[in-house]
Amino acid sequence: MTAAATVPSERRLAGAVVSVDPLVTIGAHEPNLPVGLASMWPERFESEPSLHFVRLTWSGEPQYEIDKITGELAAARRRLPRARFVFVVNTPYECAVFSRAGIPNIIATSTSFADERLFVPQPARQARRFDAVYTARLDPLKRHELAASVPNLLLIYGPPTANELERTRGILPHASFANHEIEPGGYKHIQEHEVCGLLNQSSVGLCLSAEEGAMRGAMEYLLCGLPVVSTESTGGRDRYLIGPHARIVPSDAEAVARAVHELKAAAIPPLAVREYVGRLITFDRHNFLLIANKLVERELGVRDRFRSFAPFVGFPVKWRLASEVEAGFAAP
Amino acid sequence: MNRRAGGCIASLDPLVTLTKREPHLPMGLAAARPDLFADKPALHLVGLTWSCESSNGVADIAADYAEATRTLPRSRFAILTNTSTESALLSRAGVPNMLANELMFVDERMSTVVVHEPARTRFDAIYVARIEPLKRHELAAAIPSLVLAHGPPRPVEVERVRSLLPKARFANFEAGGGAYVYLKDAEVVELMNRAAVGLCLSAAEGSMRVSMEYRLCGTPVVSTHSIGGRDRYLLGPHVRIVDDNADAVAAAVHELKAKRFDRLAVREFAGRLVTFDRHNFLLNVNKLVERQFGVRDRFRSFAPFARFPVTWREPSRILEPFAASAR
Repeated sequence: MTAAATVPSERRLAGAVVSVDPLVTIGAHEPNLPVGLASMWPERFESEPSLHFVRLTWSGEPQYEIDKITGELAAARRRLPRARFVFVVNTPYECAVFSRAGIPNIIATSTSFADERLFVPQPARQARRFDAVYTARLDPLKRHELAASVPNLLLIYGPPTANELERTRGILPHASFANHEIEPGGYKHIQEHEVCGLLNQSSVGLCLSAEEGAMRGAMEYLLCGLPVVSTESTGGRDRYLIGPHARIVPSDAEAVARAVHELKAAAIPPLAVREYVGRLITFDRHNFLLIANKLVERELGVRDRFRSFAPFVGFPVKWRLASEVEAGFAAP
Repeated sequence: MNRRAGGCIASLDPLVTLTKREPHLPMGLAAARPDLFADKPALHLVGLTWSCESSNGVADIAADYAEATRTLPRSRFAILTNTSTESALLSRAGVPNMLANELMFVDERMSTVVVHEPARTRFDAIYVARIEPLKRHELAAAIPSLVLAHGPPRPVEVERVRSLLPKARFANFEAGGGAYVYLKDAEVVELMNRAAVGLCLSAAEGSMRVSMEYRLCGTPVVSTHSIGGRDRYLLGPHVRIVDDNADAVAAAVHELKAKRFDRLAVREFAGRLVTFDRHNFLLNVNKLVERQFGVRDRFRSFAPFARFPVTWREPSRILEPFAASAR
């Protein structure tokens, strides 16, 4: 594990030093950073015990993923014998297959780390402009074609290739492409508060991939009070897709459009949606803190290290410059 | 195999069982009747009766798992843990598991709100627990009005607890005019509804079924810190976690009693969390079944699982579906 030499320091990564004493980090399993912050700065974890929570950014169900992580974990343990690693999985199924492979893990779906202060229902000043919004890269795995029958659709996305943009425009000729329309002159990155504003102009949020991670966008919809239409999926987003404001449909454009129409007509109060999911997140965070504290106590001998969820909110799913994350080592 | 067990055959085709781990059933029904599972693929979900966080717990389960997979190569096993700590420890030992706290199996149709008016509350607190030292009845000593419901105790234990709690009401003895009698489920539910607060006072056990029954009856809960899994659902305005101190327990009881919560609100709060966990349990059991047997969406509802894993029955009753299918 020589990640520090191979990863440029200006790269972005998700994670945080959540405790300096004892040393506890939370990070993401990414290419070149298989055990999160411990891969980025291994030298910082050589001389003292540390505990690392490593969340999954993609479904851990395929056997090749499990085999890969098993190898990466063995390498990390050899390199950092005083460090302890616990994978944070998104679904109980991942828990079952990881445990069979001997990979220490706990369940804490990554969307439960979303910052609920950034995504909120806004007062309705006018009728919602869009029947549905889809926050997703313009990547084939996101299956935008399943939104083809939604009459009035808004797309929000990361920077696409020219081919991806052309392909999606061909599939969805009537859709509004927010990042290209927010101002003239090509693609523009949309800040989180602007995303929140756009979600609040939409009636329903869409989740259309067959497989990915837990899909942060799904939680952002719900926190803004939008009902959600999702296809069946692997990766963990279905954990919170429960209740009167969620519909799971087959992978069929007509079924997606029907569910959007139905949920739009239901006009569920946004605050009710947010409260519903907020209670579930509170529950999951309560249990994450219980286990995080227990593991810190077992591995590092310190009791009740975390009195609140605050050190964890947002950071595990927010991509920051490495230098910003590294500043956490100096925190009081 | 005459001892009672908690469990059920959730599906005959494909074969899926759910049993609680007991000394005589280390890997559930598969251990009780291996002959029934030798010839065909089966999935066995095995719940934990007691926390495996102690020093030998994980090693014991790992050994039992290894033995079971050796003797029943066509069976697959998944331990259902009550806490993520258990999941982490079992994972490190290579024992397949998933988090599925057994409190989600408590039958919400049995434990219900039957008394709505706080004015009809008769007791400050109720403690439904075996009369055993591990239940730490002494921590209830400062509560003015207390009722105990319990399994059949040894005389020496009754004497010990009577001296610890001289003012407490022993419901099972009072119902029998001085002799011990079992209380029916409905009678215990009525008592829970007549108490302002339910108590959970052990330091370590399993997930403690009654901790959920209290709240399904609309009764707020005062608990000590604990190992075993009951703390999973112990959150919200109706719950207090206190130190191992009789005065702290009594103060929390007093505080929660004074709040006079709407019992239906207490039940709804816990019920929503249970619904959430059941939703996720079904998603993942269906996925396990699909990956193992190729059968999709085997379980369309939670009904095959509700109640049975936490209800003690004769093994012959549990195995009835086999007999019925053979007829």
